[in-house]
Amino acid sequence: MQAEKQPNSEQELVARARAGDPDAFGELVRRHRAKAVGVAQMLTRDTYLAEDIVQEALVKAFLKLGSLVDEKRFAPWLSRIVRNEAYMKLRRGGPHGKERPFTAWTGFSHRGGAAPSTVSDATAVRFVQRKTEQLDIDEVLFRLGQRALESAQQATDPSQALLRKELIDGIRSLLHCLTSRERDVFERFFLDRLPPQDIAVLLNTSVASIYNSISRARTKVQHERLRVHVSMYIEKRRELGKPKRKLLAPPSIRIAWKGDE
Amino acid sequence: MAGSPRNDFTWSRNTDTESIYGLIQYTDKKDLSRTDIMGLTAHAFRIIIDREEVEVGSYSFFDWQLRHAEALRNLGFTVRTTGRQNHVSPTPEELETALEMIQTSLDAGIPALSWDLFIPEWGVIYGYDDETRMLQCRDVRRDSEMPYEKLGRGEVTELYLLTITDSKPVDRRTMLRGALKLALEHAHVQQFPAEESAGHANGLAAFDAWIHAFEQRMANPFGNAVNTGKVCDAREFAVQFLQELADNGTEPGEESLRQLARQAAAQYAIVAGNLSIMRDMFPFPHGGVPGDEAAATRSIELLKEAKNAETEGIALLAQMLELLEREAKAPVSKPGI
Repeated sequence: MQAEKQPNSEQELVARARAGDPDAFGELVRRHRAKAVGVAQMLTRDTYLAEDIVQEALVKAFLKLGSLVDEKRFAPWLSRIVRNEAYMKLRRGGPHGKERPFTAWTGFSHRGGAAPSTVSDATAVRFVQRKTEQLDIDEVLFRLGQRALESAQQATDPSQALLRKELIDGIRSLLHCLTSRERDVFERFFLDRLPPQDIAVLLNTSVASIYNSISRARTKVQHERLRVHVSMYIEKRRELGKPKRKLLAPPSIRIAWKGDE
Repeated sequence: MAGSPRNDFTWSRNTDTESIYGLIQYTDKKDLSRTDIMGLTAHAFRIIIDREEVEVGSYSFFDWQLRHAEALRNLGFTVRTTGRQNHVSPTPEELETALEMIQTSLDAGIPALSWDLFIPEWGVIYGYDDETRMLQCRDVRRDSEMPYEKLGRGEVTELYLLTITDSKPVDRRTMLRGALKLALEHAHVQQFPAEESAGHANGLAAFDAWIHAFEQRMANPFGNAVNTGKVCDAREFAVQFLQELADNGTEPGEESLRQLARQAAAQYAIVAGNLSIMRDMFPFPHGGVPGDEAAATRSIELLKEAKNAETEGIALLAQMLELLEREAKAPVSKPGI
């Protein structure tokens, strides 16, 4: 059995996150994300929207850490931000609301004034990268589309441009699992942010078929992303000389399910 | 006592306890029997019911990470958990964490507890192969391989994982005291905030929730059958656990504890008996017709009687705890320690 590293206290993590330590904030996110998604889902009854809300709430929480008075009260404080974010989204018309502004997100790199003085831009960029890696594939692609529109502005910031390039290359490498037609629809939908109706006109087909292509492509890309990630993980294990396989004696659970009968 | 008493305690319908028992077989505490595990985790005293329709997932409506860790801590284990119970499949990063936990645990010789491997129940992962990228898993439905990428993407698409990372010796008295505390808390304190309960109640209040569903003629046939089976199974173990405690104690000065255990066993036998009648009325999986007038009326009677017995049973457990607490404060009076 392996001795586990003692987890840091919540208070300590908040203090470190406030001082600009993205790993500490990452750990706080890891601990509280599921609960936050639960709260958002309860309020919105929409998985996709809930994820969206939590994402925004976490960005806000990171920016506003300085305003948290009692370091021991991080969880309820975050919960309140999630609730506020959810109510704001619901007022805007829920999942079908016109816009999903990512002002806080884009604000990191361009509007230095928006970030608290304790958080350097470099830290914020790293945080965005970390968070982006964890996003749902749809979110990543939608945001990439949005970022592409702002590329002119970003050209002045080499580190941002590089980050974006790496991200786009990463996503594009996943698209090889799609047929050329699926890739076409996928890129138009996610990268160009064209509505399915417009894509249907462009490709001279029905809207329903575009929706089908998008759905199929999304599933394939998600699976491909998992597959690639697992491959990298296994590769890492191999490099570390970890065992390749292990099989213990079967556990004593009796296979007794009768529900199929 | 109503119903026929059970005498086969080599399996349990409570698949988390069954899986936990499975894991413990690979540790230094493998001498603990299923009955011991059911009693000493307090799972034998567990009941969670949804008042709207006794929905099928009632038995799993609790914070797994928190409660499973708490139950295992009472047996002297340290655990590591990951996942979230919200029907969201894991991100690649979350899947990696889970795989890393599974492999670390298996390399140390202990399987991992998981959820929804082949059916939305708890099960055990006991093998891995990086070349075929397959996990070897067993739950109540099947023993089979499962691709790494499929973990957390089963019927309900959510990931849950628990591994045992350490084991410290704990004497049985301490385990028993801890289990009684857990049982009493479960009986009396609602273990989720009211706004997140979605109509579920635990402990004594769960009987009221169950009665309410029958009164409204809203009990779902499948959900009711599943949960009747689970709670009945738990209480049958409770009877056995208390009975063994009453029969096996040999030390002098323990007579009052044994006496209380014997009385408590009699109360839980009423609960188990009544629930076993309901189990026959609403057989798994089709579940009979709980909305039927006569069946509902009869069930309400049985549940009211069961609740009374359970209330008595819990009061006796409280007395047992009091006795053990007193003993723990004055250890000199007990020979051999």
